[in-house]
Amino acid sequence: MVRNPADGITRRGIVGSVGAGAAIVTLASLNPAQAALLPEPQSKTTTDLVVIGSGLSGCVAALEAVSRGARVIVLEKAPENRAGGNSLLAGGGFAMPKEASEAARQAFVEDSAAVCRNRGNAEIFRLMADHVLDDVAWLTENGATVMPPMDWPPHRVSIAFAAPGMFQGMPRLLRTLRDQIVAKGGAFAFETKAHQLIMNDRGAVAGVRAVGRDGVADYLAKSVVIAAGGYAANPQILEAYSDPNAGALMVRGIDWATGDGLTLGQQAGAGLRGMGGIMALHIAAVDPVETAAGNPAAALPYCLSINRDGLRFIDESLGYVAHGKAVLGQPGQSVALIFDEAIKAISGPATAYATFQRLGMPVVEADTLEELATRIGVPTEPFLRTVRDFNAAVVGDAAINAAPPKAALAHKIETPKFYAFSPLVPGVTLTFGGLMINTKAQVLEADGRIIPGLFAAGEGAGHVFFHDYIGGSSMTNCLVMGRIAGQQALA
Amino acid sequence: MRRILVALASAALALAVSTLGHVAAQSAGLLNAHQAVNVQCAACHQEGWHPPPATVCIACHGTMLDGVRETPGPDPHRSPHLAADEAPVCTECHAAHGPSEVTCNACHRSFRFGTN
Repeated sequence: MVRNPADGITRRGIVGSVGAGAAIVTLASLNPAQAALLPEPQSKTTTDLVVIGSGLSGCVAALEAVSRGARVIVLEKAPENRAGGNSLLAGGGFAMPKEASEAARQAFVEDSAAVCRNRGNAEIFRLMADHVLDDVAWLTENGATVMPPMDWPPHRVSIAFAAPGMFQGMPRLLRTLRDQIVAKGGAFAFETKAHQLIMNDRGAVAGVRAVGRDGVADYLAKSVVIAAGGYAANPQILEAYSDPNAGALMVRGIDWATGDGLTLGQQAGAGLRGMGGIMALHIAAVDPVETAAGNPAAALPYCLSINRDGLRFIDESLGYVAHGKAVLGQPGQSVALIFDEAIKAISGPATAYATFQRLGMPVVEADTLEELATRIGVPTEPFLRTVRDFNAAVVGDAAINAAPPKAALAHKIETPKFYAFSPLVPGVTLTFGGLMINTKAQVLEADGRIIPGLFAAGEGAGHVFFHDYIGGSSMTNCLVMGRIAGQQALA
Repeated sequence: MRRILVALASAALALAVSTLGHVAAQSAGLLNAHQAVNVQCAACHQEGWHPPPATVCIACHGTMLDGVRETPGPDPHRSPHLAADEAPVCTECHAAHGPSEVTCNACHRSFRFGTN
């Protein structure tokens, strides 16, 4: 945290404020390392709002603010051709209530809470339920194309994907938002990394000190929105908060999501929430090379997941994050997702199959279950017994007596050909912990005090989710809370 | 005073030369290829020194949406992330000043083709 020179704080004052125990410090008395931390900025820019991060929440916050007539600058540490943050890799679905009724909104909130084991953020789930339909319409008013909502079993919610489809639409959606921000007078500073927040004499955040291609640059503003994403690519944070071994996990998301927003906020006194344990990580079992689109999430609830011993180990209908975390505990941390010709004809599995085919990812095929066992490299007898026992337990839509039980979307594996997405291995997609915020996206200290002028939204703010989430609700969080941050930052 | 001015001029010249050298050192084949056929800077940089819009590239090179290109993977110019008739943004991958980059690889780590 540095003080805002515009408020009459001298360089000597800055030094005194950060030099622990220093009564009177002059520049001449600084050693080179200390002086290097207090450079004169190469440039100073005054604006209304600075947004840190060019992912969905950052772009939405910026577009909302610029649409209200504010001057906005978006800082992004990545180069322009890597704009978009972790949102760029997202499936691009917005989870939403099935209709604009209170009953449908309540169902969205209840299912979101249940998936998060009732330890997610109920207030933010409510905001998402109340705002997402209007906010998706707002995206389309701003030039984005979002496909019609479809059912998203087993949850009582719908999902609408950015066009042209799942794992296809986010690059275009984000480019549309960037173009719209610039068309309305906003600006982007790429390859410009926010390093410190600037505080004024009233204790409010009043800007950002960044380092860009031309050196240190100060951006002075009435408000700052931190939308800098999560920390999946920061082994230090993962090892400290998630698990001593978590630093070795494969990163599915962008490899520059290093929790910079958390560091910035903490310098200003912000509290963190929801950081502890594997519960704070989104983990999915995916293709080991095509780690983003190689996620057969839409097929998983209909399939059987088989470990290296040829055994099932989880209720596949619980969804792909619960599944991904369960894979961490399986031998070799590698599994196969098996299905048959009849399941392949269902729309979810058909979509996943088509994606794997298009991208040249392996889909194992076999005429018999014995051949499938050989091709996915598991012992034949235990595998055949697993399938036989499961098929015998299927009653209607469920297999309650299977071991482990399957609560929904149970289909017998009996119609050749037989298929498998194999191997699938676990990787971290995104992280759930973040800066403490309230329902106005204001950043809070650990004791609940509001830090004036500082707002946060998106993956690194909340916390919102715990253990798991409904696929597409992270995009919904970025959209709804990003827009609220853009509104409140001008209030 | 004259000596100081000379020194300053020499310093400025040295800086200019080193800057030009820096640009040249950064330049990949694309700048050389354009210079080789006498394309002037202003032909691409019609509105300042930022990367030109795709329309500038397309004016000479076309949209790349027609024909079939041999790449060890999907044709990046006809990406399923775009509409059927939507041209990609050239400068997201191709750079005249500095190395070009297959930005598909941010997500698609199996794509093995290169670019220039």
